[in-house]
Amino acid sequence: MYAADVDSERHTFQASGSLWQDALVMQDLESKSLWSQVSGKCIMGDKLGQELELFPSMMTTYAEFKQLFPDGVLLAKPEKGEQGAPYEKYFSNPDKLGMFGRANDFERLKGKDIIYGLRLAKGEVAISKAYLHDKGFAFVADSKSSIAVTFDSKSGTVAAYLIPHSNNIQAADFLISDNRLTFSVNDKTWNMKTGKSASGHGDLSLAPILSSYWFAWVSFFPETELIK
Amino acid sequence: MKEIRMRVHTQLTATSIIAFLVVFFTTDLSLAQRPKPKETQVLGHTMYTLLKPGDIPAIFEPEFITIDEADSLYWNDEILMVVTDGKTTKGYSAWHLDHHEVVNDFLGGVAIAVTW
Repeated sequence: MYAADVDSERHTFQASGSLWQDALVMQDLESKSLWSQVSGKCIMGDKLGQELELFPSMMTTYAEFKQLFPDGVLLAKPEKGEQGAPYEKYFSNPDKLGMFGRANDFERLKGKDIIYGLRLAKGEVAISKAYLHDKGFAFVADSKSSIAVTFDSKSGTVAAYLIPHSNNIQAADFLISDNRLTFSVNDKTWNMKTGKSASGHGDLSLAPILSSYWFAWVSFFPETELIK
Repeated sequence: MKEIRMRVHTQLTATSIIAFLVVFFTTDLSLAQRPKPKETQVLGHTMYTLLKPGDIPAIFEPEFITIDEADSLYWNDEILMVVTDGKTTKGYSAWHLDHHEVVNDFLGGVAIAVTW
């Protein structure tokens, strides 16, 4: 998910028909430049060297969306649809990594383990889905930003929130209970799935987060920190 | 069928090559008959070109529906990407990303490209 302004002008994107490092390459219709979907960087064309800005988003299910955002709207679909069968073999084969069967050169996780990726000033951080499933929460910070990641294992809802920055905040300062995220230092509490304040102070803003297979993420970001 | 769909949707990833897999592996051609991808070296990596730009049609003029209208079109376990500016909240289904890869839209006046 990216902000679509390039050189202060809106650009529109489509699939280019190409794969690079086993991931989608987008083309903007205005300059015909090619952009990596994973890194957001222009890899070919007039915009070479430029990078799209990540846009904050979260992931949830339709059932949760209805509960969390009753006034929300959804992109219209022409049909209810049944997907899955055409590429079920790809998802179910742990050794099939990418379009052309890339070997898994990486030992820290299995190639098709799902991670949630954050991009901070200090570099990229991957949090394994298994870790979030177990803990329900992760906290990542550097000298410029602090981000809390919440995960509801029942619905699969995952969201990253910008936490008012302080160098003294630690993961242990947060508690997750009853779908609430609490900062124990001052008892500020938010709904962990929406970031809305439950204690009468400001809501939390979403931070950009990506979900990816580990093999693809580490291919783009080999120096990534990993929380697992 | 429903179990298959659920399993697939819970594994959708940011490095989506879903539409490629659908288009490339569901043609009537046998593997031997399928055209060999064009290979181009880009910044030290091989870029494989299998389709033409636009063969997987992006969405450029998205239309939105309310939850009441969506109930007959969305599965309860359908995975959504969600954006919000505190006033407007929009959900984009994995179905759209499967079929279109990119949705060009706005949120609060900000142009966005929805993809994962």
